[in-house]
Amino acid sequence: MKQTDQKITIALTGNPNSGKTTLFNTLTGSRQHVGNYPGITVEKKEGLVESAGYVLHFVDLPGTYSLTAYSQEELVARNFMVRENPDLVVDVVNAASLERNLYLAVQILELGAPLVLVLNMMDEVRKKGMTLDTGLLEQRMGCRVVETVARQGKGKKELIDTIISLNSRKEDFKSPLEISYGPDLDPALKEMEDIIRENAFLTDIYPARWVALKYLESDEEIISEGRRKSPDTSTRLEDVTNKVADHCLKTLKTYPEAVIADYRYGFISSLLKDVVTRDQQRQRIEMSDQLDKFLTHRLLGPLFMIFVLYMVYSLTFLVGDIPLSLIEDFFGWMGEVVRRTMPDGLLQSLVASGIIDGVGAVLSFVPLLMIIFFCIAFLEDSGYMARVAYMLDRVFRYFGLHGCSIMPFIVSGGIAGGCAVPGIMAARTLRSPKEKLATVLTAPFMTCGAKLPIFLLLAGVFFPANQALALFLITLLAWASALLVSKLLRATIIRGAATPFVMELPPYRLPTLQGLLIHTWERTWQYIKKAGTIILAISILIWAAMTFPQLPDNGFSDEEIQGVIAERDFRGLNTAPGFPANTDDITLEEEQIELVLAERQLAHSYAGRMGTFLEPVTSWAGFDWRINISLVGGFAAKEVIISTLGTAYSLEAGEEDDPTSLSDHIRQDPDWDTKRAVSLIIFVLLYAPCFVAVVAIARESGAWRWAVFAMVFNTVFAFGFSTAVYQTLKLFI
Amino acid sequence: MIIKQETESKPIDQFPDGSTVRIIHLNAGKGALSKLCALGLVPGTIVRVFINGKGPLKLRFRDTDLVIGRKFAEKILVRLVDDND
Repeated sequence: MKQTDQKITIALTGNPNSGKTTLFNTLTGSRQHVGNYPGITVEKKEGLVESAGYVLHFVDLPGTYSLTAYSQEELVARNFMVRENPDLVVDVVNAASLERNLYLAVQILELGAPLVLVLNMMDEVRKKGMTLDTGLLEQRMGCRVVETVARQGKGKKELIDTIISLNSRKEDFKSPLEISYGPDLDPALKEMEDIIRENAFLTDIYPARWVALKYLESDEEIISEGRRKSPDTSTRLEDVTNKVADHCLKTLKTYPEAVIADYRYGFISSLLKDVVTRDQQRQRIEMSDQLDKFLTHRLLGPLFMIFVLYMVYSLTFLVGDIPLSLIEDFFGWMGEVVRRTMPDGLLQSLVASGIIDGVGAVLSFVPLLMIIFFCIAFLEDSGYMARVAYMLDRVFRYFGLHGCSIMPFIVSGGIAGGCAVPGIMAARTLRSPKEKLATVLTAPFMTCGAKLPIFLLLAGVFFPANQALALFLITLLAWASALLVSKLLRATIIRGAATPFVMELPPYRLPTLQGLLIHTWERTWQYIKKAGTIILAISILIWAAMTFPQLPDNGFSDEEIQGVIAERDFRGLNTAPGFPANTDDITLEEEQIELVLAERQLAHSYAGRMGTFLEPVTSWAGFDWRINISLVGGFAAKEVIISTLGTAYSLEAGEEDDPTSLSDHIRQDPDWDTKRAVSLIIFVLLYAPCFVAVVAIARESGAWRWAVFAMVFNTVFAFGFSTAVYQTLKLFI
Repeated sequence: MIIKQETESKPIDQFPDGSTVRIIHLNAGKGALSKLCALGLVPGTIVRVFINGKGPLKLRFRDTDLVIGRKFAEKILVRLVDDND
């Protein structure tokens, strides 16, 4: 930004499915996810556009239908408009559904915010055989109206020009819109406005009439704010409210909120008179309806859904396998180069075993994740994901969840490759605290992108012919566990009645490539960043835990070395393939001593001691101390599991070993068998969420005890399950 | 259609696929009421019952498709209207 550039802050608001996020992407090209599912945008996203000496600072507010205090999204949007004082508020509306979308716009005008109305999806308006008189609408609304087709980037320039031209005329906006709310409410509103003005009650923040309206709507946020400001004035306003509410209940058998909504819609109808004209001749059968006949069919719909989910996996494996092995080879080669070129010692060990192996194991899965993220983005942006929620509502209801629980589950990795952290965040759209809590606690069971590498690795080694099927079964197990545990929780510690399900079903739309790529890249980049920062730090930490304390330097007596060799002979290591039979070869002796010493060193280290300490218990599930080390590391972040195994095997192998991949190590290790692999898969799938997810659970549930519960309960549950499976398999294998 | 208009209002989930109804009353608490209003389901709105099977109902009104759980739908009291109403 140049010094001379003037900054304009613009709040971008709108209904879910109005194309607000698509417009945001088109304007700023920002890395930002776009979805058809209501409530995807929960976080505050920002982006900059430079034009004509101005810097336009866009803030993408959560998609909302209204500005009540009933949901977090609406509060966030409202508070931003009021408290942050943006220079302009751009309300993006779906022009094909203007009446309902203007409900929010009218409330923004009542708030007195400087509004620009964006009529998006003008192409759909024309397809529907509708015409809009934008000029007339502009005149009646008293604000600028800009037509756009965000998907195609149409209207982008006009919008930017409008914003810049309006910025210099901000005084034009000052008076808030006043709507008549009829003979029952208008006198009360007038009385309340007078009280508010007399006492300068919250008038520094809100328009007087708006405060009066919010009191009539029993808006908890405003009322408690009012009570803090002036209890006396608040009481007077509440008295008027109670009188009106009584009156409404007696004469109209309704609440003031319903009367207010009714008059707002009446006002919108009068705004739209002659603005919208419909081509009555054109009784088109909508494409979405045709598609829905098949895609949400009672029998074919669910079958197709399962087919779609399975295709996502298959595609991932078919396409993703090629770059996967290339990257794996690259990091193997890098490790080899470091081992050859750097002098022996701690630094070489740190770089080769701590950094390259650790991060390499994580990064090699980026291609797979990109494909999965791309598929999810396609399903979300096309509108199919909302149908999935619709079809699954009955199932979820049975398990004490909500149709909207699908989103947290899917984002967490219901379709393998998500992340529990945004998944838990996505649960914010759930209004009922109980269903939300059950969702938040069970979503971490899903196959997140960080668990995926270990599943891919083990499936590749032990089920090479059926990798896709194995992954599919793992995902089914994740779902079954999440649903059954949720049912259990909802019947015991989180009992309570179900909350109503309601959701908009957007028409099917062909996703834009830009949206898909931005979404894919954003999620992948988050994964890479995590691998590059947290994971790297933890990888080094764990390398240190596995390296220190060091064995006394060269502190081996001849007896000890003989003992080591004897131990090795006893284990039959010198008969392993690749070892020449000539035991007099001194280099070979040294190599073998190195190998055993490395293993002793690891066992001697802090991590090794902890792993050994836990081994008597974990051996019930088939885990040795090495696996234990990596699982302990997995509490910090699941990516660490695989990088720790990589580090452990690399260290154990010693410096002279071939830079073979972790999967080769596991394939050749006689301790690894199918039952251990299955047991480990189950444990990794179900045990404690990573600490970032734990923090998210604490925040979303509002209590740390639920976070602690998730850690303890999930680990105990996972261990019980793994042990049962391991012991059962032991009987048969 | 005088006879139909005089009949008592009934919850919307009791109407079969393809019915066109008018919302008479919302028998809902404050939170649910506010949600219904924000979505545009206020008394007087004409709603087409698109799909009413075993799961959530699919409704069409004000150029929007909405799916709504059965428990929620029970709160919306409606009356049948003629298609040309």
